[in-house]
Amino acid sequence: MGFAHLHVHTPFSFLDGAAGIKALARAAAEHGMPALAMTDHNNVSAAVQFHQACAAEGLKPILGAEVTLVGGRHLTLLAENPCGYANLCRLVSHAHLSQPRRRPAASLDALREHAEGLLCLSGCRRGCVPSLLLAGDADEALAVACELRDIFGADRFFLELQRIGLPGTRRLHAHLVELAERLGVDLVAANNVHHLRREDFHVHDVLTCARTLTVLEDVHPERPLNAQQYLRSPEEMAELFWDCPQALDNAGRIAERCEPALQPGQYRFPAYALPPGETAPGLLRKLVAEGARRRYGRITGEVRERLERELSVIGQLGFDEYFLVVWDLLRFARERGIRFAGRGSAADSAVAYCLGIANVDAIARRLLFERFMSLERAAMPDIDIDFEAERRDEIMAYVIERYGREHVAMVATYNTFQARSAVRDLGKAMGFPLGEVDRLARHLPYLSAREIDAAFQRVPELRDSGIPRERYRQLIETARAVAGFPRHLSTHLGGLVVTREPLMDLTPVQMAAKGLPVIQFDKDDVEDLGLVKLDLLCLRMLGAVEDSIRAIRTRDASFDYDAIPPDDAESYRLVAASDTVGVFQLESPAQKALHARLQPDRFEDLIAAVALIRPGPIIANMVDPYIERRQGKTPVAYLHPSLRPILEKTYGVVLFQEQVIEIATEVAGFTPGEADQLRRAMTHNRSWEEMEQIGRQFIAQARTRGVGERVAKEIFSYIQAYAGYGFCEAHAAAFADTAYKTAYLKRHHPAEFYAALLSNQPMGYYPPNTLLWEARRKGIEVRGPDLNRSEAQYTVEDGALRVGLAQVRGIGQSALDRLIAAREPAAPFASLLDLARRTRVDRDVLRNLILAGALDSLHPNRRQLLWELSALGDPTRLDAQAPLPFSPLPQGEGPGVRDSVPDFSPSEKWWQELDALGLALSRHPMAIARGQLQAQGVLTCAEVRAARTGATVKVAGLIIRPHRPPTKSGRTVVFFTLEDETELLEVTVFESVYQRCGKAIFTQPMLLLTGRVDRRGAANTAGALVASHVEGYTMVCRDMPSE
Amino acid sequence: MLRLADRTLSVLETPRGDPQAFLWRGRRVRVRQIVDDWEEEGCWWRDEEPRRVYRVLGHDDTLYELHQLAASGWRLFRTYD
Repeated sequence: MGFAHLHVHTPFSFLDGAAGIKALARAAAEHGMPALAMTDHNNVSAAVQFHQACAAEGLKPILGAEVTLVGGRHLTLLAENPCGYANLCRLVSHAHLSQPRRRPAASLDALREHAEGLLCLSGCRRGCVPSLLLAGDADEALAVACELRDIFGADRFFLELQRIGLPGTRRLHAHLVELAERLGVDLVAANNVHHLRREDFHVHDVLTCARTLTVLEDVHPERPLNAQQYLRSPEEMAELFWDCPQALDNAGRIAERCEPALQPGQYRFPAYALPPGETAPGLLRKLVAEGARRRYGRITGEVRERLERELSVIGQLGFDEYFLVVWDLLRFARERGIRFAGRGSAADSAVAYCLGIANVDAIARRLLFERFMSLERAAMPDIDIDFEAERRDEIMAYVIERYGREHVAMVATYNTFQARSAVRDLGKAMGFPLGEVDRLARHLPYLSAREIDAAFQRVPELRDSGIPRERYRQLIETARAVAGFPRHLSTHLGGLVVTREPLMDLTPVQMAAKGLPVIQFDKDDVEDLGLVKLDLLCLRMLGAVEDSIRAIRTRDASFDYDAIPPDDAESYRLVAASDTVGVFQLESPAQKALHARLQPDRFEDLIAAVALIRPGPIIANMVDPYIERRQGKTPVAYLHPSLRPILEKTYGVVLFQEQVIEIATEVAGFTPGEADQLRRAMTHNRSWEEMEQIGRQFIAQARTRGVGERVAKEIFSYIQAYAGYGFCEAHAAAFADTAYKTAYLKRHHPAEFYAALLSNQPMGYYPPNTLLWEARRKGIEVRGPDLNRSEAQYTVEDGALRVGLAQVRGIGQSALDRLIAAREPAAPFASLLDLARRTRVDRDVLRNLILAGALDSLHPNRRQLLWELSALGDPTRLDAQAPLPFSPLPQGEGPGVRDSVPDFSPSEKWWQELDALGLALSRHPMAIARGQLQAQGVLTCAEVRAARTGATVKVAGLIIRPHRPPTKSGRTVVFFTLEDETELLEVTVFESVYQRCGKAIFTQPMLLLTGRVDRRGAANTAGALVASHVEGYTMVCRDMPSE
Repeated sequence: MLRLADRTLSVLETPRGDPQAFLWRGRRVRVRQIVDDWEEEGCWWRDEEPRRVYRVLGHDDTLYELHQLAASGWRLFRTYD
């Protein structure tokens, strides 16, 4: 076998590898190499992608790692076979788990324990043997080399020669050659590859600076000295090692003896601890039967047949225990009262419905099980469950305890370089001033690091920013080179793998910041490895639901969220009026605009609404036809009679992924599994050639079933336009359930609902201040924080919303606990001194409480309270009985007290509250400017909403969430919400205005707009604005009158 | 004693491009041994030239540090005697 590179760093060496995996594999194949190894630092995260990239290029993948040993020296290890790979995983796990986080190091004992199946190369200049030789300690080098030879055996230990143009190489090589002869081991040539081509050296250099927190002008021993560590061709390597051809030959021999170490495509199911005498299929069948009786009451033939079919597929695919694991953890959640909701395609399964995993009746809704799992389907089905955010970790802890740490770990995720992160990291490393780097990064929208150059031309807020592109030429080029490279490993939000065999045989495990074990693969790799993943996600809305329930039950103990009537007309009217701020999934401006037109009045409408505002239906131009047909303005028509039963419930429009599968089945005769493969192919591999091929197959098969070519082509064009970005019906139905119930809470229990929303921030579309003002606009009184009345979070007090103490800036959990614990109902705090003595919270917290107005009930003069605070000395050391170092100012109200120190002005108090709470509590910012705006003829948002369609108006307000969703035309359209003290107003900005005014939209907090009132829904719906001019608005804040 | 020179140099190279002899202060210095050699990319961000560095022992028992710059050719950077 010819030469192969055996020491290669991919980007998964995290800031120490500047060559992409696919590019490495392609170049190795072009050079005619038979194999390629990957040897990242202390991880095998690249393994799956590397395996796939090599397979695609016809190369043999050799999996390995450059492992750090205790003391900081390196060794290059290669897996000779699957056993070697398992040992590599165990060794790398040991390196991580036995040391502090992010400082992995393996001991020699661990090396000895896990040496089987591994080949050891002596490594780079930081390797055990070379580093000692370079330090002049030949005796110690000999001893270490002997030990490694003994650990691995003379035929599996190699002395690694690297000719990469570094000082001392001649002497080092002479020693290594001598040592090899003395020990009877072989030499092997390597190039310690860190970048693909010679000219990519600067990318590696900048990444190294980013990794070592240095700048280009700094000297650092880990900086590469030259551009030699690239993927040299076999010819270049032969020239370099002209005097040592056996080292080259040995590289080829090693490559030949290594077997592929990964065995992808083989499912690895978790093991469920079964009761004695029970089998997994038997227990699952029993639980499903019980669940079916509970869910359906009477088991009809249809139900029985469907459940049998699903159980048969689950059994044939071996997923019985997977379902039992999920059922078991949800049983635990129910027992603990932890709210959860299934999401995703699992709701396509009636078995999942019977087990309580999903709340959508797949049979009643005629949902397609094959969208979830089928015999033909190659991909792993996913069960995703949302839990209330505060308590999700209890579920994690249960799973770990139930299945053991050896078998459970979180899935990893990789933070990859995007435009902003690349500019920040690389800009700093290249020595640009931090302020400049920050300014450039802030002006970049969310886009790939390879698009920065183009963004200078097409993104107005960047183009008009005055930032000189030429100055950042090198930075932009370097950012482009690292686009999409992983920057560091972190933990997936909810992905958990549970395995039957010990995890460490399949993947290295390390410790996440939260103290949970995490594997070194991400969710896609996990699927390719055949590991079964559970997605246990945090959904803050479920926490808000739970808080709402608790608050409502304090005045109505009989309230039952799960028994909310399914057809409450008032809740539907609320949605139809677009009054959906805070309602799960229905609150975005696009959703609100849809409700005004769709006028939903039944659950099906909400499911459709959830599915309609997605890129698929929007790009495929399905929203308007759907609305018109739903309202009976356009007749429902079908291209072919066979489509009627499939598309009837969506008025002839393709809205759900399940329908794509059914169409392929009914029209073209695909098996359900084949049809799902078609859907997945459309979703993931949208190359023109593949789509053409799928289309040809669809049309050909449809024709054999009597469908005309023109009709078949048109049907295919529908699903083609839609499939890549569509939504699955089961998922939409699961979301619509929570959407409807939260609309009900908002309609019937608004104070409790707003309090719960505000207590569970951050979540949803709108910032807390907007929610607070929205509550106020709905007639709910908002009361500021009060030390004697507020709880930690928002509460409802006589129908009013009371701001919680946790809102006060800088107040930690410990201070909160002390404040609330020390407050006794019978003895509220009487004064600042009393408060300080009873709680001993620190001065900054007390200061912020005063400025937030939380102590107004103790004394109405905030400035006087601050004076009093200054007289207390250090409140944390205050003796309960000792006299104060200074006499405090007079307490309480009374003649002379108010006048002793003048209080802050209303305007000062407003700014202080804003700073201490992050809320404009007493006045809306736009209300302060209202007089000035009125004088300029600027309308309020409420006035614009009520203005006649087509009127040209001026309006000002705070901008909320400007965004640029994909459009059918590909042109940029910006949508945002404008807020003032009266209302929220939806604004649309088309391309030409965006190109003129984009800088203001994306950089200014307050805007002054001119535009035309637009109204697309019924005549009585609120107006929106199509802007013709946008500019920043600067508020002139003079002292405001008190309210 | 270390002496900085930083002068251009006329060098006779071996077929592999290594220095074989050079002219220094009007006399021919024969390279007896290449003691060490390496490559430096230099300050690429300031458009500095990459170079190959040779530390050689001359027949006069003086240690010379020769730099072979990518575009500007050979320079004698310093000597040790």
